[in-house]
Amino acid sequence: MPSEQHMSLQTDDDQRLIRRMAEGDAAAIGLFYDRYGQLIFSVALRITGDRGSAEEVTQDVFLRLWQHAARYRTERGSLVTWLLTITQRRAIDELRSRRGAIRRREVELSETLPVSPEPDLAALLHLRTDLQQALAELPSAQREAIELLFFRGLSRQEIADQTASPLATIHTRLRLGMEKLRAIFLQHEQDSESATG
Amino acid sequence: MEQGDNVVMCPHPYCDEIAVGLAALALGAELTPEEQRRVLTSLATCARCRRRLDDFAAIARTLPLVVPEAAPPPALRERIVAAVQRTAASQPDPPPVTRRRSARLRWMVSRPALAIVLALMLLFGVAQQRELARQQEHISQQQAQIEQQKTQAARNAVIVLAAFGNDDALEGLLESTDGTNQASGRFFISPGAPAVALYVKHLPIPPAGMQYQAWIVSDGRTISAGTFGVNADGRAWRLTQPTEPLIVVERVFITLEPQEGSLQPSGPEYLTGFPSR
Repeated sequence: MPSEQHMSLQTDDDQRLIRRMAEGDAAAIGLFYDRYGQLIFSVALRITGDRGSAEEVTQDVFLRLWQHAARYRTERGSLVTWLLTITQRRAIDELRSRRGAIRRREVELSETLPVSPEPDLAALLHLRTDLQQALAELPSAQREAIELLFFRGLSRQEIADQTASPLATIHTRLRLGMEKLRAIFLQHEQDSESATG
Repeated sequence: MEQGDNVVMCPHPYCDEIAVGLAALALGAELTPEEQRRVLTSLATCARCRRRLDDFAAIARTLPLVVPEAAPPPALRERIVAAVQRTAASQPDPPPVTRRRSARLRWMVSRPALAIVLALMLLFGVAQQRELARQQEHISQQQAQIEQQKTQAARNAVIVLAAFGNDDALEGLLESTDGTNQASGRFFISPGAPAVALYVKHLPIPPAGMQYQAWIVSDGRTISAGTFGVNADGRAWRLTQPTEPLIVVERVFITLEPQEGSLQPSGPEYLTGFPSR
């Protein structure tokens, strides 16, 4: 969740910092942390539920950013969503590892992520508001299914077990919930296109 | 995006099931082999399903934005900067900007607890060791198969997401080169990942000792996208991540090659196609 102060930051500043990191300028990572450190930490904390683990995940994400800065191509998409996705996957791995799940994975996300065109931060803030509203409007069971899968890394069967619901019900909740979020997402895109067009 | 696209019926009779698979895939869940098969088939034949996956993946990318704000400890910044400085000191030469490495997936696969098995064998006595060893061998084989299937399933999911979800994704039709057979197909390529998904049908069953091999012409080079067989209907899916970067994809084609595959195309060409975008 970029805060209001992020709105004033320009995307090209991010790109300049990435280039500095790619050239080996370690000071650039501190500046980058000032912009996105709280965002990354917040996501990590939401998923792991533990400040120590969240700090570990945050540090790992920034180290990955540093290590992959030279390979980052600006035309491939949003740096913010790239960071968010790495954080989510890394935090879920941490959770699963803590649970002793054997399916711990290590995915080099820097080059496998599907990415979207760079949204500006104002658009991200707008989208965040829309998503928050959409999530709030979802029936609680649908929201719970999405959150347990995405933010807790549970399998669909584990969600069924935890909520004492049939697996088919979990499937229906996931599908309906995602379709409703999608409808909001599409409306948001349409509004953005109208505003810029 | 289509207005109200989410309420338009998918042409597949199992549309809802596909939507479940697409939602699960986008949110990071593992798919069952049957779900994988249906999802892959749908993605190959249904533009609406591909768009739905695109949208679900976009939602998943932005979902972390909704978490409540939390302040990290002030010392974390210094720890991260210090860790980076240590890394920088040990790696003075960052990789060049133009150098790209293919996406890789590493898995930590659990191993059978051999120590426990050995302890049990001692308890049961020498007479039962053979039977235990036989059972353990059987279990190990099954565990290995399960792990292999899980690894492949997740790897396929990553490739599919990359091939279909990336903005740089290309697609095209594969058509018979000489028009004498009914073979056809479709390909999806994400040069950035790089990831390739191929679907072919009505290819003749290859003769003994031979199989098909897919090739990608990129930036003047011909790169193998792997060998594959076909089922009794001449159909096959091929998901792969080429080890070489794909710069500008010019053409995709399928040849018949020896069983072990070829370094460069040497056999007759059966299908060819060009990216449509």
